[in-house]
Amino acid sequence: MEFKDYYAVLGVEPTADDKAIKTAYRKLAREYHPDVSKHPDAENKFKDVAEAYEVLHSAEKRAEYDELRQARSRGQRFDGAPGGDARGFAQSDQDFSDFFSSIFGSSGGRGFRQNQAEPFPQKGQDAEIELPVFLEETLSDTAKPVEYVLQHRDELGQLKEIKKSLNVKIPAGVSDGERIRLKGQGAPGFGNAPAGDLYLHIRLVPHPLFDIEGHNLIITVPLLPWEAALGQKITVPTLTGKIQMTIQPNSQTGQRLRIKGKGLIGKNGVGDLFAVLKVVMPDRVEDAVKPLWSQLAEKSAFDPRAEWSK
Amino acid sequence: MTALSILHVSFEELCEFSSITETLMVELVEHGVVTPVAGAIPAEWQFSVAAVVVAKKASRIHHDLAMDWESIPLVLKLLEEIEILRAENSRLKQRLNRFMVDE
Repeated sequence: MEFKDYYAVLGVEPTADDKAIKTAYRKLAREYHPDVSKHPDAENKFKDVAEAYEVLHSAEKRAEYDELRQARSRGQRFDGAPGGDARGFAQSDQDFSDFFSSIFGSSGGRGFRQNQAEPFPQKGQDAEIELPVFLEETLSDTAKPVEYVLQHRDELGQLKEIKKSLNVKIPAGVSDGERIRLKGQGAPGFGNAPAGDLYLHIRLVPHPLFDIEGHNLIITVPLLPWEAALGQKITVPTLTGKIQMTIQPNSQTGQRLRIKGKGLIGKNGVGDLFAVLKVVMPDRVEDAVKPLWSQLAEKSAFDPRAEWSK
Repeated sequence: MTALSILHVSFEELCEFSSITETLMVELVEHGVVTPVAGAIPAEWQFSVAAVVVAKKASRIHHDLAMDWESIPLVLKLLEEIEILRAENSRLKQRLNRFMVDE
């Protein structure tokens, strides 16, 4: 087992006083706490920091750790403290490393007494996972298979992985960021206590065609310059099918046309689909049509940069 | 198996799940950190599942960042705003990209 240098984790000297340790912890916690950090490895970083602090801010644990650390520097091999595993089993809200458990037992986490001899009932840990949902799936109640792995410390303190698979009913009209709670689908409890819950964090998958604005949808409609100029009947895809639409003569990039009731399901009814026009040039100007563009250049008096010369 | 999905929790459950006392939770409600979706008095209050997530977050921040409860409403408000702005930013970027040409 790898020996953890808790002083290095907090970036303090082994002689640091309580105040210095607390300051170092608070600084690192603000940086890596998963609730406030966007660091890609925030969760693991914070776990290390929290574990180091858990040991170093308690005089008792710190003394025990310092003893092992000194023994190690005298060349003794580290095999964990004798009898450490037998001390406790309780699940803490903080999952500390095997190194930690080998010294302090797995009940050393916050809020729990060390040297706990008898099992006591405790609800299992809650779990939270992100669930990607396609826009199409939000239009009606959908059953979706969900698979996840729970990290669970059993009654002997062994860290185990439990694979779970469920079929979850996703109600119509769910929105991005919404949460769904599944009772009893988290980690098992201890001593006949109920299992934890599973929280699903709904994430709407970005769509290749449609953008979201509240419960309205937006589709970008590419038009040729002459279609925008002369008008055109076009077919526009919706989330569930297709719809015919008339582009008026003299249309412009950025114009929004409303197609009622073809949006997402919102709290106050169904949203709309907005078609946003985007005039595009052909890939290249072919020789055959070049004279026509030249003719336009001669005949059109429109100045697109009039704003600049004001 | 099909799991039963739950969209609301009671006041009592909210306190239990987030390990926050009832007295403190009433204060969090007064500060608008969590808002009941139904019910006139605490015993009848119903909260969305999102409130559980917020309350648990409040509890974690208080504990892990050694932060006073007085500062929590502001911290949560700012975190929520950041989250909203990030989501809006990514939606607007996606829309902007529809008008950009790949170089």
